[in-house]
Amino acid sequence: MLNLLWKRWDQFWFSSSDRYQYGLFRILLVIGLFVVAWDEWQFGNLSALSSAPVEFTAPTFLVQLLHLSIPLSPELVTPLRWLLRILILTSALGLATRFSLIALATLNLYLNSLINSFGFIDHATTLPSLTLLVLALAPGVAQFSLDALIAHIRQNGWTFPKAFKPLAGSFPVWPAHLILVIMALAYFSSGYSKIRFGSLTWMDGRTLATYLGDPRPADYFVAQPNLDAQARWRDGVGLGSFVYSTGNPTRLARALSTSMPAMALLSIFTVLFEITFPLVLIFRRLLPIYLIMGVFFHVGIMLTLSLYSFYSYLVCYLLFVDWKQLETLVVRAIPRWMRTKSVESV
Amino acid sequence: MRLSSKLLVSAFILTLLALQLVAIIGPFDDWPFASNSMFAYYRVPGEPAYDIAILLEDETGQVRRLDPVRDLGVPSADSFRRLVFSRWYGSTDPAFPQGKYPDDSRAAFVARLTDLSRKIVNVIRRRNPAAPAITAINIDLRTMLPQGNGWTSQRETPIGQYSVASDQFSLLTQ
Repeated sequence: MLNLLWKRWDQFWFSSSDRYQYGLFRILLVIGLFVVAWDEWQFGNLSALSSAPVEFTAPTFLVQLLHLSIPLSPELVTPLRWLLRILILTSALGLATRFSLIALATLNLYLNSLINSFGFIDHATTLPSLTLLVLALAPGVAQFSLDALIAHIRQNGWTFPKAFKPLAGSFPVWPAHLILVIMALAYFSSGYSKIRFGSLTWMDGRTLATYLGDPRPADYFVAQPNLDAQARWRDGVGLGSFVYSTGNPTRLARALSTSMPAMALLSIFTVLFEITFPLVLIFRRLLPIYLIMGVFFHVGIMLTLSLYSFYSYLVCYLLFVDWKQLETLVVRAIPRWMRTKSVESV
Repeated sequence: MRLSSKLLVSAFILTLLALQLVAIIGPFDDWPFASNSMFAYYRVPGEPAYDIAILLEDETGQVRRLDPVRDLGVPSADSFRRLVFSRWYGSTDPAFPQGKYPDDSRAAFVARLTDLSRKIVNVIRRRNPAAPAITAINIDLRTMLPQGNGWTSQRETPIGQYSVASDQFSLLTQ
């Protein structure tokens, strides 16, 4: 029994594949997260953390576990910001790749743990930060790097770019599978929470319509429905949760929010998409379908709410693009296009 | 891969997944392990939302609403709103992912709001010693209704008052 379990475990995590291009994904993830989202992730505003009073903090699990000090010491703000910039550059270029990535993943965990220790949990940064941590330890992450190029030139002389094949190689699948499992759990938990706290009636579309139709800002709280009178002793109402921030609904969102059938359909799609996402772990052929639905889901949020923070999830999707197949398609397509051009010019 | 490497990686995988599962089952909304319960509570269009207003009364008799960023130096008003609710006010839902008070009582609630008020007074005094001293803090619940492009306050329910002199929060709700 144990043997069989280990065999299955070994097969799922430790088989090898040339499908996942960790080196290329390293560049896309680092640039996608840090260069694009410097302000979104509040790295540009670290000094606000240094002046915050210690009385009004809610240290995260990691901050408590590692006894990190909050708030951030003011004299550390500028050096840490520069260290972050340097690590972003060396990680993206692939210079001392493994060291740079591990240092970047660690520094990101540290800074984001501090940023999220003041009452606001930025859910858009959880999956990408764990993805970065897993990637930092992934085999083959130094592909497509200056390190790899220097090693190639040392070994073969100056044969770049002819003999330099950055997308070559087969690597263990555990980093990609772990990122996929974490992603599946993130979506599942979001869908499960809606059923757990909002019950199946969450899918009737009213909650979504309310969030889309709320005037802005809506920095308030909501009462817990169906609460008996005794449980409302604090204030006569019984506050259950805070109203979450939803960006700025566009005209499209406001128009959609008046149609209850549309709201119900979108709510049902959201819950079903999120709760069934883990199916991709069993039926791998479903993965492209779920990722395409995910693109629609996140782009839909951007278009209706002007809320862009979850673009970071889309950056994580790039790990699952079959880059070698794409490369083959592009290479095949170029001569055809040139041939068509030359025929046209004749 | 060598067996020792596989075991090491397996331990890493199991640790990450265990922490994520604890967050989901808990449920706990932490970082980076979160239960992702955003927008999960049921709402109905047109129904009111509620505002917890913290009002400061100083020695000159002036009453004004607390501005958490200016008065306390917290990074944002939104994070302070969530912090106050999760850590001091408390949700009626015993499973609320950002703070659980399953056996909450009036005495515990009063103790928490005394602690919150005392901290507000101390931080304001520390940050601006020259300002008129705070003598009392009132916490009100405002019923807010969406109207057009804004919200209007329909009703104010006083939750209670903290007196700096007695260092005690008194509950006004029955």
